[in-house]
Amino acid sequence: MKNYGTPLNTKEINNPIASSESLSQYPDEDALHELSAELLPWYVNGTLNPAEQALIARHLPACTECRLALEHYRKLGASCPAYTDKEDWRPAAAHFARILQNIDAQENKTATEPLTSH
Amino acid sequence: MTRIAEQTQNLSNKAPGTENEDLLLMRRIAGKDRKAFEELYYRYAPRTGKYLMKLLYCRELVDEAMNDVMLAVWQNAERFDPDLGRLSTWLFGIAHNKGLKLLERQRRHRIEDALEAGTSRIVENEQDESAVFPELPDSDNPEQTVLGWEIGDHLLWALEQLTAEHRAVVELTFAEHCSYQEIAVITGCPVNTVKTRMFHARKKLAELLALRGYSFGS
Repeated sequence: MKNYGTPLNTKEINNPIASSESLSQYPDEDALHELSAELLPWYVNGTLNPAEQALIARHLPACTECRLALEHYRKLGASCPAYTDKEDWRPAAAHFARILQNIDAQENKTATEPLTSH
Repeated sequence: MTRIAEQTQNLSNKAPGTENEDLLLMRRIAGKDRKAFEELYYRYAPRTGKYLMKLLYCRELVDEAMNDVMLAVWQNAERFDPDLGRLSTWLFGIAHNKGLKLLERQRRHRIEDALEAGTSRIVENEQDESAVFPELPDSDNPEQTVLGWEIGDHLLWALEQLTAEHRAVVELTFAEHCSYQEIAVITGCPVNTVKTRMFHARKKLAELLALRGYSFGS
């Protein structure tokens, strides 16, 4: 899935990591650690933007805590496909037919309902 | 319905379409084209259904939730805006919402049933999931580590213990490879809530694994 180019809130708009040009303007190691700890799951699934990805890659060698968390998330990531296949659900013609029946029932109900004035 | 049955095999092999194809499909559905609606079902129901299985753990409930999802799509197709995200994100958002509503309805029914039966023990909080899910045998080795498939069941068990909201963030991240921004859209939460839920999910998983004598390892 793609990353959205449009920020979702003002915090993101003001987020300095939105631009790779600001990479060198992120010298505070504590802030970098906090950011890294938050974004590691998406570092693992490869959906961060290049600037975020680079910041975390810069921080990881210096931080045992984040490297441990990274390992946890990688194991979690490796387990999820198996978890996904454990129980399966598949579309079926009979199920789709019931969906259409449901829609017909809804539409008939709407068509036969008396108009009410408000 | 014969026509639908005949087409099932071909349609079920179709992968989700390109963004342009999706937009055209949604426009046809907005125009009440049932063939397009059927195409959408076979393109996207496998993924959304799988996701709902992770939330609901019951095929019958997923059938019901998918009914609700498809009805919402039929009734609101004209509201789909490709500028706000991909069709899959829009559909996952509807599925997430319908799935959680069904879970809440189930929880209320359980409470009502328990009250009617006069039982004092009511599973009111989904966090109290030890009452709902069977326990795995205790590990013989307290220092075991979750390293591979041989003890993967323990991690799967731990995932099942999470609340639906926490599990959703884990699933959307690692099974559906969604960005945190997409998860925020799907779950209707601020991005900071998504990040916090992931943090707590990992913490909870570590605690649950520790109860079984396992750890993620280092």
